[in-house]
Amino acid sequence: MSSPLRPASALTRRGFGKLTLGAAAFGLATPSLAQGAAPRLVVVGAGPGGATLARYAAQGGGLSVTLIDENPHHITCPFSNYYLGGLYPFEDLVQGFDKLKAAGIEIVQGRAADLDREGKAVILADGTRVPYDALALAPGIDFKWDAVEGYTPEIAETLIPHAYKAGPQTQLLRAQLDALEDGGTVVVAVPGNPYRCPPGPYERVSLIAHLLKSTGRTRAKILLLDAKSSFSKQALFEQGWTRHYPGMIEWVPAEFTGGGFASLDAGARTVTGLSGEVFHGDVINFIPPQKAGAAARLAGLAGEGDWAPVLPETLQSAHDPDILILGDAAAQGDMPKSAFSANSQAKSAAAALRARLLGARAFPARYLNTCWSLIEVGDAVKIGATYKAGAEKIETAEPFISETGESAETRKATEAEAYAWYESFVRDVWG
Amino acid sequence: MTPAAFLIAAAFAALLRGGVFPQAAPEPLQAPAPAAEAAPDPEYGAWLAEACAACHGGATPGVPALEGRSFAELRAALEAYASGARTHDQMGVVARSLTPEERGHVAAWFAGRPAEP
Ligand SMILES: Cc1cc2nc3c(=O)[nH]c(=O)nc-3n(C[C@H](O)[C@H](O)[C@H](O)COP(=O)(O)OP(=O)(O)OC[C@H]3O[C@@H](n4cnc5c(N)ncnc54)[C@H](O)[C@@H]3O)c2cc1C
Repeated sequence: MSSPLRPASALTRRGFGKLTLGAAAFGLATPSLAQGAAPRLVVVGAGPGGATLARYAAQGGGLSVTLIDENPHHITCPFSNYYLGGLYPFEDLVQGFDKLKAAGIEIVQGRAADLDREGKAVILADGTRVPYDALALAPGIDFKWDAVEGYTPEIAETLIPHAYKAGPQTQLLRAQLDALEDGGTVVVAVPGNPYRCPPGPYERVSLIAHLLKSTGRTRAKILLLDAKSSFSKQALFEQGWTRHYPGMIEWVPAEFTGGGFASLDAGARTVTGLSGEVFHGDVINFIPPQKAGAAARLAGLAGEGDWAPVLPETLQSAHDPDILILGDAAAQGDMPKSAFSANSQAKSAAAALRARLLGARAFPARYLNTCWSLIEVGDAVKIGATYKAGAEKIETAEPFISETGESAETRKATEAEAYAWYESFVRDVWG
Repeated sequence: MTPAAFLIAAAFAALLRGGVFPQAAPEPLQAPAPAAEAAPDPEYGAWLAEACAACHGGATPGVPALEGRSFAELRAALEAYASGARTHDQMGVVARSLTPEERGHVAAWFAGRPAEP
């Protein structure tokens, strides 16, 4: 379907009369407004958060929208586990920006390297200054490379992929899995909370098991090393593993890893837990601890913390009302770091921004999330919730989760929903 | 009016109107709304419908398309999800996160959209 464009009349009827008021409510000298030009929204990151925000903020006109990404396209993490499992083509994870361009959004390829909050400009790695009236930052995550001795970006690129930013990393892991012999061991190491996509590692382990099983390698073992002592949808995953992959997956919780990882030896292919225990894998997928992408930690936006705090109703930075921060990088409260959450946050943030900048009709913020996980072909589960903007943070309103006693038909219907969501979500974000 | 009677009345009224709101100049809904309930506001409905687009935008077998369905059908479905008469995880929590008026707004918006081919 076409996106649910709000009628342009919403702006023409009410908007322009309130333009001055809108600018005043925004609380600043807005250079573009002073010159009578359309206010300029600059968005950093064309992932689910940033691209959705750019698209929905551009709807109805009145704003000039520039979207900056360091890559010429975005490769989605959602469904990258399906690719690892041999269930989805890699090319279909790659989302281009042509339809965003066609929607009137200016696309700039470059890396946001610095931020001049006083002068209201983003500075790209090549020195270009991009001025803004409003800025949105949705850079996703960075890894804490100093957290685990022996794990570096170079090791990740060549020997021990994290595959937690989709792209060549995902392809490297898949190639290593394809080369694994029957009887070999795969280690998947999972960090403590919070991290991107809480059920992601457990879906990944399920679909690695699917890949191995469907290629006759049922003597292979997967060692799931965890910094935590419980995990998202645990009962559902554990039931699924017993049902579909008996004897193939062993979960090693915090009690044995020590609640984290001290070091990694790429040559010996071992991971050492904080407990001192050493684990060997023929293939190792190491998912490091995480923090907000660097762009959301510029100019004091994350304070002393790893994530950038925001206001629950508008996703404005707690430190700067002219800057929105959304998606994985934001410390917003109860929503998990998911693409669904980022997409949902972007819609409320865009509506609030248009109300502030253009005097468009204001609506109350709404937030929603669902994370589907495929355990085996025909057997998917989900977890989700509605959320509301509380006084301090985004708060869970009503949660739901699949049940272990569900029928096979329900699980199959949930699988169909997961595929339908991905197709629909991609259109909703990138057009 | 009991909720069931209300839904039947709403369905009947929507049938009489052809079940579709004119897109450009939406008319206020007449008969079926109980005294306390405001007339559907499709512009507000469009805002609420942005959330629906995350899943209902693919017109795939897994999740049905909503555009161009009758107001009565959409409204009745949302009421049934909200009450639990019809069960679905997401649709239950989504419907219950809306006030009865908001369920009317979003139903009015989708009813006024052209059906996808
Ligand atoms: C294996 C796996 C499976 C997942 N499955 C699901 C799922 O099924 N459903 C779900 O909802 N979520 C899923 N997720 C989570 C989801 O991927 C993230 O939550 C989501 O991508 C966050 O979106 P974002 O826009 O905040 O950041 P990102 O998706 O990380 O996008 C950030 C963008 O910003 C760009 N960027 C970063 N820094 C800069 C800079 N300085 N300058 C310019 N550009 C920059 C990047 O190139 C990137 O395109 C999964 C994650 C993983 C790892």
